[in-house]
Amino acid sequence: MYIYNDIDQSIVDARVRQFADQTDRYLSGRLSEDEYKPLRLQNGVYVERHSPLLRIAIPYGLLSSRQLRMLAQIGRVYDRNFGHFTTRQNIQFNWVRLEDVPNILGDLATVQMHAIQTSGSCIRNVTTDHLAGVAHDERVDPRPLAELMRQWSTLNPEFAFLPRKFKVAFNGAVEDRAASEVHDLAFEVYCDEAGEVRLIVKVGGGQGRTPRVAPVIKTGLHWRDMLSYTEAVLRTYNRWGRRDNIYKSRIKILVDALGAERFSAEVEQEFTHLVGGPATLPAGELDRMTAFFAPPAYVTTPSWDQEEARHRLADPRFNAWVKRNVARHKRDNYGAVTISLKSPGIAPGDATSDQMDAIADLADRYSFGQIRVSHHQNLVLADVARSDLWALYQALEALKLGEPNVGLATDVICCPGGDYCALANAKSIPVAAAVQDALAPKAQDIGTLAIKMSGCINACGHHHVGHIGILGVDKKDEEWYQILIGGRTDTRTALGQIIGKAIPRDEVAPTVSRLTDFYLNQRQPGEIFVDAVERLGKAAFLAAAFPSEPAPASPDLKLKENV
Amino acid sequence: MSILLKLHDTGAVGVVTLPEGTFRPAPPANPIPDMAIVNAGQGDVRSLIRPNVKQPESPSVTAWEAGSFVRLDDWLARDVADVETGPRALVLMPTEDPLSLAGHLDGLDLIAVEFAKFNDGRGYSIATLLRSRLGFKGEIRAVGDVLVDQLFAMVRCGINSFALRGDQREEDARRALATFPAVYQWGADNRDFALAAKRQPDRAAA
Repeated sequence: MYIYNDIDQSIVDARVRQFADQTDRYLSGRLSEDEYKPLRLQNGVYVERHSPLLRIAIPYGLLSSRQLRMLAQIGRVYDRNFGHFTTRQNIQFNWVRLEDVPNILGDLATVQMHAIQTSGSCIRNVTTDHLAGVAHDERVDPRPLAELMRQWSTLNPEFAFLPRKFKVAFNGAVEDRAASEVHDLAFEVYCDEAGEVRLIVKVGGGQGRTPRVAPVIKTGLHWRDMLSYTEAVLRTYNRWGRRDNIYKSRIKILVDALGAERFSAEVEQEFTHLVGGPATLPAGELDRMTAFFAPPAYVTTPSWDQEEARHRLADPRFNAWVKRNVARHKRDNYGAVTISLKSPGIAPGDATSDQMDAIADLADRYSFGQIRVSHHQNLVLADVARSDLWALYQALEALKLGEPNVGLATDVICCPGGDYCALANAKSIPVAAAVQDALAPKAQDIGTLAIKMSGCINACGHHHVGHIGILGVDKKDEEWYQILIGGRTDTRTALGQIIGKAIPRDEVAPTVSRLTDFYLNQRQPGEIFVDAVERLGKAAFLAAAFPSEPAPASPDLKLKENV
Repeated sequence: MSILLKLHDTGAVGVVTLPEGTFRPAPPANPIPDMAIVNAGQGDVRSLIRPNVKQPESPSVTAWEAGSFVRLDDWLARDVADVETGPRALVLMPTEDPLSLAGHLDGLDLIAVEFAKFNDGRGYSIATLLRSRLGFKGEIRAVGDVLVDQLFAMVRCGINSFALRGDQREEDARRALATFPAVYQWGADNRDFALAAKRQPDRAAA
């Protein structure tokens, strides 16, 4: 992984001092609430429903065991013994005191971590495939480019006060595990015939109020021009993006208004002034950066371990775990193990400090001391020898972290919702729990099913790209839930469609259950839920979700306006 | 009085004090936050969200040390035959296009870039374009909501004088100019930056 040099360290240390000073001025009344707010947001500090929250950057989801232990310690010292891994590969602590944040940042800086730009109207933490570097379907490891982007965007002076937030993702594989096409800026990395790394650039994707799949605006971009081109995109957005309405200020609205073609032409015109300029990356830079992400010292063990086979035959839960939680690795004798943070009774993405410490130990023992965070809110040990799988599984079971449900209906993505978030329309965590409860008995049978739940239209829980999406809405101060089906982000991206009217909380799990029952009755061999939705159509699933006895209809919006 | 900070090419920082009200005055004093309340969260904030943002209408400054500011349209429409002497200064609003000044920079000593609100970031791109695209060599001055926490980024975008808002302290501003010992990326100030560095710096294990 990337290791800080003295320059990186000096920048992060200076940011800690700067934030401590800003916080001091706020606490003494010299900096107003309104003026402190964007400064604290640019450093990941929110004030949520019941407490301040600190979101810490985990660049492209990669952590060392030492860093994970520091997160565990922060949870113990400053929070309530747990942290929450987010859909942007970050971690957030939900119960910090604002005046403690400078000290937390100081602690983080000792392990080369920070909270820079994890919120605010700026370039956010860069994300990518949690299987980067080990995925069997990978064209190019995107992490070296993601790190270059991280550095370039860190404290970028021109783009600190954009019209709105700006999220960048990289994908270098056939399957897009980074959901890159629902980002403001997405890079598809590939090698051309001459072996040169090049990029396809997509702009203006996103979820929330105006969900969009990002259109391609540039192909064949050489990696050396990546930052110059990004500068052109950002400058175009910074100058011409709407600032008169926060709901219309994301770059997707500008791309919509101009059309992808004209937006692309505008960027191209700016780019002609920048190409070959000072932001051009030096020729050896990609090699230099790639060296940080070199493969670890893999051992040569047999790819088909007799022990693994024996245990799989003897222990059905282990067998399920290997099937669901161990992803195929570039090397036959290794596997990429996902540690599910979706056990029954636990809010999706939460891990206790003790669990974090234990996972750090397991990473040291079985996976070269590294851990990844997936945008599905799970942790990944990416380099586990298959001969260690049984031992690792047993250790995880002892920690209650052996849930064999990766990619299944119970592996629900879920935002913190109304239990924590000051913007939520509705609670998410209890709904996710009810759905998990209802589907647990048949989850293995259903197979791959991505259920994604957001407590409001901002879509932190990615409901637009869930095979089944659940969205919390507010009607007359009551919590209601809208169901969507057919969203996906795998080898292609599709946005889900709303089915039926909003339903009350108690109806969500039974409705989702009926959708899965209909699928189980109708599926063809090998067909996953979302493919069945595409084959059978939305109407068929709508009818199955809301049979003879329709769910209680939500209050009619028109009626509300007439009152 | 109003404080104008000037950053010279040598790195020296000069201070010019101007009559009270030349720059945006101090807002009313802030209450000291009650941390017991802040740390208890802010509840449901949905009803507090105001999606519409008021857009700037007129510059926060009308005059500079040697006369009045000219607006962009007037400058572009001026009669070139009219050989007016003396220093001239222009003020650019966030919505105005600095590239329209291409070929019209002769005779301008100062361009003020309006930061109508501290979180309106268009001024950074405007200054960058003036410096790096148009090659403007004169003074670029940040005016409006010029707060100390913005100064470091402003310098990096080629701004070299700062019309501090009335409540901003000179010593805080001087400190802010030296916030970061190094930077990652190219900026219009042409400072050395890490992503272009050729040397291999020391590294500690993570």
